[in-house]
Amino acid sequence: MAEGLQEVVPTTGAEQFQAGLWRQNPILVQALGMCPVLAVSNTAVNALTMGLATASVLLASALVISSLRRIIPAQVRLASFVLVIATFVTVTDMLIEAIAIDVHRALGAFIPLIVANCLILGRMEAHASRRPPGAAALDALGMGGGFVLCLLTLGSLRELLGNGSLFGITVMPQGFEPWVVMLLPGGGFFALAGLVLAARWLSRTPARQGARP
Amino acid sequence: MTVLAGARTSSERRVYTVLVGIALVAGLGIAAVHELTRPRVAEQRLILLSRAVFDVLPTAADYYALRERPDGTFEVLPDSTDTGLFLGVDEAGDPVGIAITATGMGYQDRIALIYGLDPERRHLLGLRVLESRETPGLGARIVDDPRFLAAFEALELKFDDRGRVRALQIAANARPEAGEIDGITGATVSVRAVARIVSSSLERWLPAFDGAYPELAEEADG
Repeated sequence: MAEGLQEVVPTTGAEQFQAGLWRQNPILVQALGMCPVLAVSNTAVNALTMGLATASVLLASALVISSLRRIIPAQVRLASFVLVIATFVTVTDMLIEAIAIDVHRALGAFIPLIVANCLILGRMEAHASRRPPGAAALDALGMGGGFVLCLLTLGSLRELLGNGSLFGITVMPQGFEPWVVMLLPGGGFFALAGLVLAARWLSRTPARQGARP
Repeated sequence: MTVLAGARTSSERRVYTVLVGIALVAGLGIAAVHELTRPRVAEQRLILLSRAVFDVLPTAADYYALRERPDGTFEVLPDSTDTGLFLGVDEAGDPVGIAITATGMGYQDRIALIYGLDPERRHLLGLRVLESRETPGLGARIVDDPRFLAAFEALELKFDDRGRVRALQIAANARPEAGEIDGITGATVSVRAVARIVSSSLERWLPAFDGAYPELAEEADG
């Protein structure tokens, strides 16, 4: 695990963006924000909404905090970060309720809880508050993108196996017996474990061949 | 702290100015978005509400809103007004029951729910939770646990010696004909909250509809 956690400072914009998508993926490598990951990834729609909500809060907060990085005093930086994050979470919460009230009901308390998602606060402290807005936005896009992709994969997998459907449309053949456990909290752990295992295996293969420096 | 008291720390006044400034902008932003989304949210909530009314009054084909007049009679209004009281009617226009919204404290925040009541046969017809912020995975199961919700579909109401409605009881192996509902493991507090909210709402509305319901039936007919 140690090699994956090393903060490799990306030099180019593309590296900056890719770091969050794969090498420092917030779910697969950093294991951040696990509570919503496990709780709302029971269907593809829930997972996608939650992922997009988190990613947009991350992006908006990163832009604001990065722009204010020279103004915010060091003593109250965490309080300021939380204020900014909480504002965007509240706004996102209201927008989701206006656009898709059914999904809003299904996600319940988890949207307000984005405030406490350590992925966002962590990126603000470790990255956005030390870099110019452009770099902070690229980092947020990469991390947010990685979060959405992982959550969507988990949600699709769990809905497919647990309900035989994808985005509410039945796709499995008639005789398919749904694995109800996949929709329950336990199924979240199984699916996440499988996903992390697959990701570790995939990222190890080139290293053995000496393709990675 | 003496080490920190160098160039990196800022004056107290600056700290407050920045924090208050951020909070002010944040507050303004939230208020603006709230104003912008309010009409659309209200519209969406009305759609959800009408779906909930039909859920708790399964035999209803249409419904009207009711408002209580000071003299205890009820005024029949179009269904687009949210008075929290609704009279369900079947295709022939005969009343099938009353849907009543009620709110109360849950485990960590307000729970808003709606239930269907048949004031003549004195039993409940169904229950849906409209709003809640109970613990996800535990208390939140009051929203979608099918067994729990099914318990309210033919729940007999019980009365004490003086004719007052008795509070709903939570029991293992509950018998709906005895006014009992099954609990949910892990959601004890939330289930009790639901029972309490429904019971106190029944205390308020059942006597009010005892006399008014037959009249309402005629009014809805005509």
